[in-house]
Amino acid sequence: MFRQLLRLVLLSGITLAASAELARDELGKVETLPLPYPNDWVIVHDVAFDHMSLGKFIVMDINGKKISEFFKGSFDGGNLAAFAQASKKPEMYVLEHYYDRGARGNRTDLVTIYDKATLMPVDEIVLTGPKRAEMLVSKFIISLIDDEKFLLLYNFTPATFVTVIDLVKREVVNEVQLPTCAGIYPTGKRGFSSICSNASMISFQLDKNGKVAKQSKIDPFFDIEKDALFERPAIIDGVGYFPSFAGNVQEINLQGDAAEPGEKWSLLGTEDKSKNWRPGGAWLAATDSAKRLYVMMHENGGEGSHDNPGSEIWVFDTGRKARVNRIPLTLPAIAFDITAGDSPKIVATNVEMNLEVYDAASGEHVNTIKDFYHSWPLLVYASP
Amino acid sequence: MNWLDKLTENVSRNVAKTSSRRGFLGGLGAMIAGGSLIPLLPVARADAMKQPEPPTADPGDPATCDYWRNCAIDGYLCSCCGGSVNSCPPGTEMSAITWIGTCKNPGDGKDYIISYNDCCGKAPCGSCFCNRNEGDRPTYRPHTSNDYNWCIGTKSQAYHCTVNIILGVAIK
Amino acid sequence: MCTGIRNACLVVLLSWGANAGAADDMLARQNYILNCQGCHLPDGSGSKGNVPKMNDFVGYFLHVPGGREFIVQVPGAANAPISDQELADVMNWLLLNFSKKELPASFEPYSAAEIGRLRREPLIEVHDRRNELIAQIRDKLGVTEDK
Repeated sequence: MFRQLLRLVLLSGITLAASAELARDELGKVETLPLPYPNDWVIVHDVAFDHMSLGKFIVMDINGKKISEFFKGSFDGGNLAAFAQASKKPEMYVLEHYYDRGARGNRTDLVTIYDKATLMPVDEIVLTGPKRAEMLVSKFIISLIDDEKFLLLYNFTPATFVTVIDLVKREVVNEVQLPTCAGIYPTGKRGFSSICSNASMISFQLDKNGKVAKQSKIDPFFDIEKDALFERPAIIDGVGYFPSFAGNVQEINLQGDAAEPGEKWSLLGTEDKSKNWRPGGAWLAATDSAKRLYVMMHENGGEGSHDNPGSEIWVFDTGRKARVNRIPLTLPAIAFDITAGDSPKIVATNVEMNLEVYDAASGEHVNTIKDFYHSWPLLVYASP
Repeated sequence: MNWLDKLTENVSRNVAKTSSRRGFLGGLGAMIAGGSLIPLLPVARADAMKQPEPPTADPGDPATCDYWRNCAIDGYLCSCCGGSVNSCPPGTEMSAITWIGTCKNPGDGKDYIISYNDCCGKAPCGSCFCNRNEGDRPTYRPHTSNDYNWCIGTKSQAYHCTVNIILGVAIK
Repeated sequence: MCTGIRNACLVVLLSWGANAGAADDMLARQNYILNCQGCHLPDGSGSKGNVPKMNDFVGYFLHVPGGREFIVQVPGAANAPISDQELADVMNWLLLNFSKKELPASFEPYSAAEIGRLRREPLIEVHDRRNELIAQIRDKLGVTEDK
């Protein structure tokens, strides 16, 4: 009787084990990503400043609590790459270069075009070089214009000029000389503007072939010594909001053929001024779907503090030119961006080089993203 | 932020070093009476009378971000990479093209003109990263901007570290 | 090292040229260091393929029409954050120190007024304009640029 029972138990045990056996895995399976990316996915640029040739971009779900949830994939960006993404097609553009012997040997400069779903390089445009401006803070040194038909690249040799790439033909079609200016801010139908070294601006409109059809010089309009404009604006409905070192914001209308400096207003109240609150950071301005302006701020600022980490992000209604919220950060941050959609989130790189996620409306801290084999996840790019 | 404390600590440490060197020189001077050192001695004595413990002419540790010459550096200090405050590590190439700023030396209160040259041709050093920005301006004014990789015109443009070279004392 | 009078010290520290000593020259030299030297180098020799050579050459520009204007209207000069007088002093200083023997015999130093007028119209197509003038210099003087 006992023996029979034991046999039954053993048998049923074996049966259970057999039913829990794993199916054979499919060989050679490679993931793809959904299109379009959800609003809560961002692309994080690990500039890898301590091993630049291995810089990379990571597609990240900011709601993920652990790496298997937040890490969606990555693609390369060698030697302080610069990044742009299309909104009308699933393409991303990485301006990068490589040496064939690590940090020496022959150098190849190129724009690598990635497919957003597969993260595969689908095409490349090899450039003559070295020309491209190589820097840590790399937004608006590569820009899409004319309904994403042209891609513009900023060069620094130390002469300054812009390479025009026709993305339909996948080739370089022009180089536009700049009178010592920087930044590529899309302007008008098929143009761009740059800020120049005498506090002026210059704007160009291109023709269908990428040649200069019209150029406009804008007289000097600010003081680089006393109150320099950051070259790091938030652009809302074709108006650039350029924070300044001393705590103002300069509006520059980029809707027409040429840039038009508009109103300049202060981000600071009387008490803020007495505590020397200043804008600052590697990337310090962004906007959300409600078109509010977010600026990262630090206290006790002064000459030389413009790259300092921010302890708060201030939110402004640009119509009323009034602050509507102050968001204290759990750890000071050096850069941030804001996700698209109805429930925007702030994704900020903190001083420990991890990412913090905040609800943009309430300011509530909702997630920390860390431990993903990264070193300098400097810039965050929200999905368009 | 305790950079001020660090600076004070560095200053006092260097004052101690300088004092012992002065003591050594004084002894040497006494021994070589009538030698070429004599013209120096009255100067040294005059200094000693005015200021028994003069601050060092170049206070601070060049291998720290707080060191005065690093007032607008953005990158790795070559002092931590096998080079020094004004020399590149072995096997790298100093970029001649650079940007130039000024830093105040707390040792003598003077503004010095400093050239921030990048050392190039190897993977980044990775040690002693500093980002200070006194006098730094955005990239649209390149000649005062530390945001660029200034390895330009070198055989390889790979950035390794940055030195800061005194070009002189600012006269205005 | 620096036991002499203060100005003599500065001369030693900055390794100033033969005609250093006048206050304007010292300031011109300093403004060159702060605003130009980073790219053009202490002796104006530049960097092949990146920064044009000025020493033993820049004076040739004053032999061809538009050249005198050009070397002030290049953005590095026109946009420099110094006054018209200071820029005039820098231009005169660098022409005499880097390229005296290439200057025309009729060379007249720049005045602040002339600089002020020229720098309000900075060039945009600097590279193209430069190539035109280099071609004129070649045709007129038989001199080619050491690129």
